[in-house]
Amino acid sequence: MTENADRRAAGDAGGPFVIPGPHAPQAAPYAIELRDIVKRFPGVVANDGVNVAVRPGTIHALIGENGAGKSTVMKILYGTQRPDEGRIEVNGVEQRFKSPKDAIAAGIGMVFQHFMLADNLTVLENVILGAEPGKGVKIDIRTARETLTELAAANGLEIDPDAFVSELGVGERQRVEILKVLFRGARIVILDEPTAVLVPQEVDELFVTLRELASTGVTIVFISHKLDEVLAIADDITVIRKGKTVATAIPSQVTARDLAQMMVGSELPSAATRTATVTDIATLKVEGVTMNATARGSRPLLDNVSFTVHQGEIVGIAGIEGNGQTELLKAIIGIDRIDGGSISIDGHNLVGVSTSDRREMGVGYIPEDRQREALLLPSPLWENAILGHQRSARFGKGMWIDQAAARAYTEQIISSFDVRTPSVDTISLALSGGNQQKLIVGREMLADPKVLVAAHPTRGIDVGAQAAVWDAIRDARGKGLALLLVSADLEELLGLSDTVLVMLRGRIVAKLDPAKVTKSELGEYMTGAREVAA
Amino acid sequence: MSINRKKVFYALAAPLGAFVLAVAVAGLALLVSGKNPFVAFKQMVIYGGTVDSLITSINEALPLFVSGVAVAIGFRTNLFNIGVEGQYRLAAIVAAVVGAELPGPGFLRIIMAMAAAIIVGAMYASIAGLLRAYRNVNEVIATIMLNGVMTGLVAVLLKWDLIASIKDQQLRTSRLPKSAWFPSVTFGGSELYLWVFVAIAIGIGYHYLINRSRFGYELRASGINPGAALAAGVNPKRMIVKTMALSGAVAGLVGMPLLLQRQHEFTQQFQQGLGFAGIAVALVGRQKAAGMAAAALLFAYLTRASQALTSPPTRGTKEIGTILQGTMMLAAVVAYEVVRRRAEANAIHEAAHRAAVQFAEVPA
Repeated sequence: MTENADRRAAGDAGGPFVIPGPHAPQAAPYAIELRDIVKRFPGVVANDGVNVAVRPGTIHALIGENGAGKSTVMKILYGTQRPDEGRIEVNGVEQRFKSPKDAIAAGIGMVFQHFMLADNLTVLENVILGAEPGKGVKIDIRTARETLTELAAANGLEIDPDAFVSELGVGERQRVEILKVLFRGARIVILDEPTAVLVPQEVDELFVTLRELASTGVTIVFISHKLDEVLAIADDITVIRKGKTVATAIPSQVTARDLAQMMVGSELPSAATRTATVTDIATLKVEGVTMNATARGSRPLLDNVSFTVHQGEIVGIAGIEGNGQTELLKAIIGIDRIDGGSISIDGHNLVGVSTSDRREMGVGYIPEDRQREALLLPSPLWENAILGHQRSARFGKGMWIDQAAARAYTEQIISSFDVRTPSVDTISLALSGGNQQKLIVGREMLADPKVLVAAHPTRGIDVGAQAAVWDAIRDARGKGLALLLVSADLEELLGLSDTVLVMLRGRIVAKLDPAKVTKSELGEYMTGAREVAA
Repeated sequence: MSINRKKVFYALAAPLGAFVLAVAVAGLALLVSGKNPFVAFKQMVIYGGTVDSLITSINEALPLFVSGVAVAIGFRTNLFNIGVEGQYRLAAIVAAVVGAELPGPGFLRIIMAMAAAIIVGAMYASIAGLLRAYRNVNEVIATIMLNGVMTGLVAVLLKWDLIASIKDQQLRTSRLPKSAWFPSVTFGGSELYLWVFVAIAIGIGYHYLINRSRFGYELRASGINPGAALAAGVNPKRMIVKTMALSGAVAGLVGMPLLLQRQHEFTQQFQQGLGFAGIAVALVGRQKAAGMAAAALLFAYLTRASQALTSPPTRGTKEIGTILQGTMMLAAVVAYEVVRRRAEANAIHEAAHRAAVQFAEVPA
């Protein structure tokens, strides 16, 4: 059986990039083996011959572009979708998962990209939620605590079981998520883009944790499109493109460039901005802005923040999530009120100016949380496309909305930003996250803003579309856009920005030249390990 | 393959299904009470089909429809105005006084009365809107309590001898002069209220305001996603106040066909319960103007037709009308949700298909 698997992995996977895999014949069965998985949706094949063999106790990376079929594989492995063809084996036993329950019973656990934790409960409560030990209605808290402490110690996942989740950082929350699946008996842990939300230092910590887990025999499936990280952590790599596994590789034998070629069939685009277009006209000026804490006694959300974004300039803000970036953007667009200082555009102080008036002055906004702040999920795309611009003269006269103009605008976004949708009447809920994001970016960019405040504009969208967004941003910058960019993707941030500011605990702690700073230096500023040079 | 036909099917499947289920449940209730359901339904259809019944159904549907629109305006921005009941009764008594006591020709009195009703309804509903927006008092609680306050207010107003007096053992406001009666036409001996045109205008206005105007867009946006509306420049607090005021303004008109076409005065007996019935109309009609018109007509028809069950051989089963209405409302709400999820799943499927189709086009 294993010989067959070897032959398939090495020879039959198809595609020009086959690199001899690491699958030496071995005695123990694979922790997970997917064979010839086919999953069809009417008219289209999402998975068309996926073969993955994961050796027990290893870290196996599954890489591919967005839309390549990674998430379908993941859903099949976790039991939320059933394959039309093919076999799933877990530890050598064939499995037919009807639901995630079956997958959990087979020892598979999933850590989602977006954490599913209750903020107002403690770590312990979160971990046992839904799997409470004990009889009847009484929860055996003591046993739960002991089990959790043991699990945490054995796997190097140190955490205070009584801390409230709301007090934890992103890295710690991820640890809680991992503990959650281990608590449910998982010996195979699937992590979906786990590093997307982490800063470099936290990524390093996560990798140490993953190594420790693997050394205790836990098998890890690591889904990612960040090639450097994959090369740093994985024992084996499987590449998926257009629904097929096109190659398997081991990190020591490939470079990031090789992997990129396997993934997209071409080179990776770069975020680098070419020519300087910065003028000395101050468009957006933020001076001494302060925002008080919501809870008494805690630090201010924004503390004496000052900077200027000139016409034709991109100012990037680096920082670990939750250090005031969100509040800063919201203050500029006028959602949150500031308690001190001033924000002005072209010399007009924005005190007392409503969000809709700021919009009319030409301020665009790409919020951090697209579901909560940017979309009307049950509404058609054309209604989403004019959100925030509904009062613009472009979309109607007097009190009426010009539907034809709105639809034409939507078509324009769809073609310029490659939004994949059946029509402008499709509800935005139906679109994948990446396509939703392209719609949001498109509607703000095509409205020709004077100032754009943007959070993670390319989060969740695939490499090709990312390049299109970067191009659009560069173009707009050339035409004089003042862009304030918050991004967790440091490559994007360093590549696009003319100036990089670092935010920590509501303050700007460093002003850096993106051409002269490395990612890891930036990471040190972000965590406060390195102090001001500005 | 016609997507339109599919859409029509989805739009009609739920209400038709609800209707069939309601008839089945009512039939069962009739059987249990020892009556022959077929006989009863036949009686209802015969009686409900007379010209008099049909015209009465239209007349009775008018306040139901307007009440449905008032509730629907709130629904579209996620506000539940349970206070239509209080708003229309308070508006009706003020309108009755304005129409009867102010000097002027008949048509002016009609306009003044309706204007007064709109203003009173809007103001009364705004109390709940302001409380919700600036004091975070749930509008459901606030409007229910304001309904209670209304009952007392109306009782006090009726005791005020400046505006009401006892006639035929009842406290009444002064009667509107004949010139201030809204016109009607007679068909086969039955009067059709021409206020029906006002109701149609309200329906059309509602449709365009909600679906085509910037205000309607912002109103719906804040209902669907308050966070996104805020980021888009909509002030959510002001939107709550405006929506409640608009809902109340329409609610104020609920009692107008009754006042201007039938009663011509306000008494303690002025028809009650229309505000609550409006909630059912808004739900069954899915907050669409045409849907609510159909629901209002159907409800009025059922009420009228079930009067047939006061005579033999099925005497004493008049409540079948209420059973039909109630079952239909419950079933419709469930069916709409099922259909909505179906349509949503379909859309997701189609979009996934479209997103993936580029891969399929590439030869393997």
